[in-house]
Amino acid sequence: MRSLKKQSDPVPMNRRQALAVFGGAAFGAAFAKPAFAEEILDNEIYVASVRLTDGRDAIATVNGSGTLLNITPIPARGHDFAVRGDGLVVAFARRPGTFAVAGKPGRETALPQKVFFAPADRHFNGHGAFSSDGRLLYASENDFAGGRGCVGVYETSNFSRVGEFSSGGVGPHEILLLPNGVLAVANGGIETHPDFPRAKLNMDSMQPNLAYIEPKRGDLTELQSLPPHLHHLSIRHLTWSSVSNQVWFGCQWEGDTDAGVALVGRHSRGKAIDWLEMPQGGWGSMRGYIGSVATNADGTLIAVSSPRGGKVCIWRANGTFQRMVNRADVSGLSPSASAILATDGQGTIGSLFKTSAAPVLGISAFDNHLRRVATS
Amino acid sequence: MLEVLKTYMLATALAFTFFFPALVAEAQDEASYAAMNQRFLAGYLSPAAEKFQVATGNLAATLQAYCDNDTGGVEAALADSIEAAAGLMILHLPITQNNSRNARILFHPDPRDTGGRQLRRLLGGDVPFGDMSGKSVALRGLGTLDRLFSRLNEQRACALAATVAVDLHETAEEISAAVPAFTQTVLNPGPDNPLYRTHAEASAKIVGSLSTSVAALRDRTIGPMIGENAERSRWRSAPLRHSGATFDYLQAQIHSMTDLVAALELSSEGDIGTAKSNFSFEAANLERFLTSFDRSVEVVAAKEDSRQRLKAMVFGLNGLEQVSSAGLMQALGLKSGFNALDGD
Repeated sequence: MRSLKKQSDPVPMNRRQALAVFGGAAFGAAFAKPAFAEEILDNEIYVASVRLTDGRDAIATVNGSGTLLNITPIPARGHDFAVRGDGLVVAFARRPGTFAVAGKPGRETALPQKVFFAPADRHFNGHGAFSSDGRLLYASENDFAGGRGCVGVYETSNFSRVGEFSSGGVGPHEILLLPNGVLAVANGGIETHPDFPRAKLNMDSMQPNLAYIEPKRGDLTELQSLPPHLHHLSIRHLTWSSVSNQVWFGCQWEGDTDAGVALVGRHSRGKAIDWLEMPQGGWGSMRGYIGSVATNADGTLIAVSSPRGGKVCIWRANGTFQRMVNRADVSGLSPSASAILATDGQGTIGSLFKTSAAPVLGISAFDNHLRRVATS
Repeated sequence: MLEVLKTYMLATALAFTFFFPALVAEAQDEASYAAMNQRFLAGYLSPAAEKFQVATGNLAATLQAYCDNDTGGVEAALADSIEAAAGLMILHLPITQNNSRNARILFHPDPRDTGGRQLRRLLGGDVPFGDMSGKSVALRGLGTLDRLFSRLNEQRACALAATVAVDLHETAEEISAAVPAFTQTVLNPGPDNPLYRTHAEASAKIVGSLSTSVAALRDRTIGPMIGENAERSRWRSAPLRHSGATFDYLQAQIHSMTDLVAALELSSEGDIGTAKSNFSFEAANLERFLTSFDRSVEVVAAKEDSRQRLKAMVFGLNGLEQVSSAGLMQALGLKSGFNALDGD
């Protein structure tokens, strides 16, 4: 039987035990609202994977002003979410986890309606996306025995796995459904195996790429591979700008620390990758690591976070640099109605356009990603 | 043996109960972090790099002499190099990571046996080995020497071992040569520094190496060795198992961590002192425990008694990780970052 375990557990947790964790109490709002509320609306609801102050891992639902609405305990660290237009959310375990949790979180309701697992020879890589009609869920997965990436396909009526197709590379991370129904896949190029948690097994030979896949047939329609001198540049996170009609992506540099290569690029179908320039402090100030990428609500601004660099950089959709915001261990980014919200590893949330970020009572750390679910 | 196990687990539990209360950060300023970093560089990094350089130089010379004249001492020379390598492999810092230096010292984990397959291909042919520097990292370093040591009576295998040892020594020289520049980078943090903005950030990376190493040791070596059961154990992936040096290597890593903490010359007072003594207690327990294993990883992974002791190792390593991250880091007022730690 596949196990669901914390990395540090000597004895693996089986699925029944995992389900017991999910069955644990999710509790409603009992926390004080932080002092700031400014432009962020109370009626916007967001989800994030978090570490609670009592040390447990959980999925948290917070409103736009940073009030914790409810939590769903999970048995290991979570990562990102797929969000459907009707508010259905699927939370994925952080790689190399095997669980996913689906539900419609709201002001009064926590997440779990359905817990499901990757098959025995696959594990999730923390990200997923819904199909255009919402009937299918695509999950980035690792075929670790075959040493290849794949996209698992799940029927959302019951979250049964109905198929898979190649991701077009190794180590698929974020996948993104584009407006034309094509999937963009960030194949980070790093091979991993769940028997050796989080060990990077092919650093010398990694070959990252940005793949475009027609999901109905799983056909690879375009592959943007990186040149040999950038083979250590792992493409990880994606967003779509409806203003520039481009996929914007953030990378992690796995080579020597002083290389100073560009970590953010944008791509138009059929064209070469356009690497962004970083005027303030150079790319070295981002410490080789982009944690997440997001646009604002109208797609005119693109923000990228660097937890190691302790900053968020913002570009206009035309590629001109706009500003830099310093915030320690910042990573989660999400558009709000009128701003971009950011979360960090110190458990705070706040608008990038304001100087203040407020701690959320009960949360000691936000994981890499933040997603807006709905406006209630 | 179960008594040993019970005693070990009880000692660990008692340590946590009595010596691991909630630690609070003591006031540290940039000057004190700078001084601590200086002590690390002078008291740990430089000697560790020099030790590895000397050991690998001796290994290369001893191996060449063995291949030429069948002289002895190769096992001891390999053991010295493994011990010295452990001192550098616990450092998750650019000086050991840049240019794939750590993979060139020991390519691990290697679940697909890439190194073994490449070695079989190379030995099976008759082309000259040439320079190792252009070859796959899976074929370089201690992993390949570990495989070759039982075949030194074969001329081609011996010649390859000598070549690999020379290459390993060159890696050691490269690390030693990088120490002065790395020292300057650590000691001069700032906005333009490519690695560290503050002395505290550099300290966090140095001390953070401890918990990263403990987690790697647990998750990449001991955990796979245990597997879900004896049949599914990944004992074949244990580092340096062919020469029977797996547990020596693990012990050397734990010992090196103790040496690193000692080199920091932390206060013995207050919460820092408590954290330091907790670390020493846990590390000493683990070192003792590691001496009790059979040298054959296959035997260890197959026998129920030793499997139980491997599980106790995980327990102990969890404890050591705790006293490293929540203990030392917290007492020193250092933060490694929740999202910044190992990337995703």
